[in-house]
Amino acid sequence: MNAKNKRGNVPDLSVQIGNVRLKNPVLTASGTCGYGREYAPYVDLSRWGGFTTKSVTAEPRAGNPPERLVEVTGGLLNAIGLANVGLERFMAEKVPEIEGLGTAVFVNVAGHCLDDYVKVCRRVDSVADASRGEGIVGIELNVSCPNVADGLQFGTDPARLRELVSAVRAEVTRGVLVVKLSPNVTDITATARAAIMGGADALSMVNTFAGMAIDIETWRPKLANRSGGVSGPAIKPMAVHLVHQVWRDVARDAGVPIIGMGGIRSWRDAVEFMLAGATAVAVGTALFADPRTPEQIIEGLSAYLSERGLSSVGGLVGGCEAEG
Amino acid sequence: MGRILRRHELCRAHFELTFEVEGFPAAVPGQFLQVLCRPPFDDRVGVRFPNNNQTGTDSRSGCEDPGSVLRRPFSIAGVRRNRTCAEVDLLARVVGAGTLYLASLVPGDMLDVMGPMGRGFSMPKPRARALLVAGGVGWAPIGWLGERLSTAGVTCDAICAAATRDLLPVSIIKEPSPDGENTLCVDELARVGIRTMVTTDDGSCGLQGLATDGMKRYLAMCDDSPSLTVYACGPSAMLRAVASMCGDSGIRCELAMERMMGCGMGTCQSCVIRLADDSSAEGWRYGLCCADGPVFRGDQVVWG
Repeated sequence: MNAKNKRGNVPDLSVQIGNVRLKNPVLTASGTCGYGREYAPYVDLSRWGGFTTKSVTAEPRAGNPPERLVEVTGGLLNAIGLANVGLERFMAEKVPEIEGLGTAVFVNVAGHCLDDYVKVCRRVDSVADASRGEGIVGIELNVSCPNVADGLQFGTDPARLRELVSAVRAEVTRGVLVVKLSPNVTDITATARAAIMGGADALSMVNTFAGMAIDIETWRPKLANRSGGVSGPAIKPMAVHLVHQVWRDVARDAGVPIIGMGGIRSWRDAVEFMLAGATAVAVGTALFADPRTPEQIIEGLSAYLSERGLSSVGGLVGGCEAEG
Repeated sequence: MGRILRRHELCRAHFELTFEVEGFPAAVPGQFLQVLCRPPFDDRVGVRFPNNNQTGTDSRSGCEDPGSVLRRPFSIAGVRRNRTCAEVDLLARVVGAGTLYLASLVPGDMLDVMGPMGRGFSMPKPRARALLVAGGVGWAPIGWLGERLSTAGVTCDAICAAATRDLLPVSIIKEPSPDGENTLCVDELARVGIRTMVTTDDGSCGLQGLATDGMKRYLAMCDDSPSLTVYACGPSAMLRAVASMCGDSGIRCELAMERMMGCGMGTCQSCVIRLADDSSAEGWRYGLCCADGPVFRGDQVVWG
């Protein structure tokens, strides 16, 4: 169902992220939709702008002991610990499945040292193709997962981040390279700048906020990992602010698109992120409660543009700074 | 989406919610539903309350938006089908904002459910015997399983346990034996010919003791344990004891487990359970309660 604008035209929802043209700006966030196939019984994945896989690491990872996830007011606190099948099984089993889903896919890559990142990115890029708009179109670099003890440094230190992105950039030639920024920094414009100087095609932001919850009966942290990352509606205003800050101070002039995320559960939230400066958005936590959320957002966006007589979704980007 | 047909109080704490839903897929006992235990989020108005379109706090106390985002898993406690619809039962006990919300629903209200999900109990071979063991709210899938097994010609007995008499989520139609004898005392099971032993921690109904005390007594009397399968649902400590007792006696058992779940469909990787795996150095690997279970064989689970 496509709404038409005042002139009777269907608004153009397609957006450009690096070399890939997405049919609409609504993606889903890493870790919330597995490798995609899990959601196939519930939704038509080909309607999504695309999705981002859970993190892939060089070796398989069992992840953290339970509890791995607890609910907090307005969101979730999780410390899964990058549980995943590892690069070899990902390439052999998951890639063929992903290719058949009819939507654009970003493979999220995480690592513990530069060599691991480079190795995984090289392999994943060998099956990526940004020019076709579906299947694996790019890589999202997880430099900010706050769950794994030594994973934090890449995303919080601009010099190390730039070094990492440069090294990976040299390997990623077929797919789009997206760098996912951590909000757990003093100045996010510094890490955004470092990622762009390292060669990122786009920024996705933000990853989860570091958080903790304690059981007042047992006096123990609720998560086995002690702390984790907070997602969901609770973090939305902070995420919108960070997206806007990076867009205004860094990304706008650099011409680098932002994929905005953090607590999005309706088209209104998506519009807000785009007005702050995001070119595309990603739905995460809300998918758990309702897998239809991305489709509802796509329909809502289209209707919103039509009502306002806007011909394309790109007209929203950074709109909160537009003249009169 | 389900439409609430009725709410039925089972005891001091437990209630049964029955709703009808169109196009409900085939389901087996042990499978679960992911239930939205709060008013659905509505794009137009934010949070929408079930019976009216007002926003904000509902007049029914305790029904403000609890600020929760996730669904909650509930065992399916029964499914009856007619031509177009299925009537589905859920069992709950008020323990927090979500179950308080469920308790507030009245006939006509809508309930947002996803499922059935997960893997349920397996059916034993014909002429097999089964012992059903239910602890507290773990009764939910057990009554329905008993119906299914009985209908399939499996000879069943049951143990139904609770802390005290008025926390038993079943209808007692005849005073249960204080000596742990299996009798036709629980209506839901007597209807399908299943004799039940009731145990309570305080001895206020049936045998005084835990479900596993009752089970010990049952197994001592059972002359046919090689053909027996034990099906259990209840607190984790009970399931562990059931698995250990069955392991010692070489009896097959299946356990319906529970874990905190994020998605219920195998993507979020939060509801992990240690499963025996000889190929790993530790002798176990993490399985997912939602997708690999929630029903596991007793000898699969590695207790932490």
